[in-house]
Amino acid sequence: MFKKTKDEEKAKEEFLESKIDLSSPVEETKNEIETIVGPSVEIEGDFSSKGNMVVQGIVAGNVKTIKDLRVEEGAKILASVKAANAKISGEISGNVKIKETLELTASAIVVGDVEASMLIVEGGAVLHGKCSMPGAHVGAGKNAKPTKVTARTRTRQTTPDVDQEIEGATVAA
Amino acid sequence: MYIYLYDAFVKKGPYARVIKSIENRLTDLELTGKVVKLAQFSNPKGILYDETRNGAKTVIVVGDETTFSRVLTRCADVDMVFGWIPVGRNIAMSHQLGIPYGAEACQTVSARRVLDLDVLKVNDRYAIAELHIPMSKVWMAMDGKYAMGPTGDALELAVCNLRSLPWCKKPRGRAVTPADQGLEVFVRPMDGSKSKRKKFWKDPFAPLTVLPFSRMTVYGKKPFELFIDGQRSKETRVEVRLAPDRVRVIAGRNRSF
Repeated sequence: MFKKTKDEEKAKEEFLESKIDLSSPVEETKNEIETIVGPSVEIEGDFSSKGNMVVQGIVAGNVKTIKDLRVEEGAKILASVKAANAKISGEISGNVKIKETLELTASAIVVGDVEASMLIVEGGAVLHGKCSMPGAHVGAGKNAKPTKVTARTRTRQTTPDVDQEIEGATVAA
Repeated sequence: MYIYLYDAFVKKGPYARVIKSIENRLTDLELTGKVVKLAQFSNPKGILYDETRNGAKTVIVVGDETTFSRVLTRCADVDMVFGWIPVGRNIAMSHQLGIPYGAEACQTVSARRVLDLDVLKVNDRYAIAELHIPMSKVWMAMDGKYAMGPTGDALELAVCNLRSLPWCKKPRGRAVTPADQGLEVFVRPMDGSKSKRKKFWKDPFAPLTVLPFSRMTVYGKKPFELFIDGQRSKETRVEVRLAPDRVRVIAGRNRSF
């Protein structure tokens, strides 16, 4: 009889203990990244996602997301990339089309044309390709028409801020 | 009308007292119904089909996680509301559903918070908790768009629905949401780096890969081991997708999703 009650209590205790462990971490992680390609994984084919994406491994195919993309150091993408925002620290061999901000860190290597509304390039980043900014206003004044700005046109009418951003980066158009 | 499916182990041994208190509580809450005892080889689907003809609309499983997932996976296409009164040792899934232990669960049944939950379809079988493939050399084809494989030797994968990752007891890292009508595969490959500086205490696994999908095929050259809701089998090709029917389950207020 005593043994029975002991088992019963033990089961209840286990239940309560595990309940304490479970409660908090779930709350913390509700707004996490939805897609992660780990470093020891290889993907072949067109890879698309509706959420935020982190690439740490190798993707041989187009990468497309409607949210943010992060390509970490050591990662490789061997085709075109489309995203809302992107921070590149790895290698991309293909065209990059970003809706808003594209950030190239010091370890980034991009071989292909780049299109983004805002471009941030850290010193040491490698960019081999044409760079365009759709919707960017060339020339002074509010009535200026939006035109496609290439890397060459942009360097001609440099502002101090742009100079600071591009300094140290290898830009070849 | 309620149908109570009792697992064979609950009526005897240490759980007799818990069952007595559950029955008293159910009488107090006026939730009485027909009690059916599940034997080891009895088919719950046949029982439930018979009872739906007699007008039963709610089935309450009294037992542990194995009993609950066994009933749900066999009867996922039966049009009934499923409730659970957790009794026994193996009841981790009840935390996800926010159902307390024993007689306290009667209050959850009485509150009747019904949720539509996703069900996995693994080949021709249904799974409610998880699909787990231990370390093996397999590749995956996702949604017919891309294929994925390890750069190293092997990988371990899990598709979680009502249970957290099988390789970590605490669900740290990600929240499992069984009601989002979406599936995610968690892949843990062996570390493929051939570094000479690799120390023996280093974690042999590479960081986790998480990919959402709607249809996934896992294949290997040799038969690989897999666990569907804890039940072991061996296959060379497995197709995983979301079942067209969702199960209606009574969940508690403190559920984790």
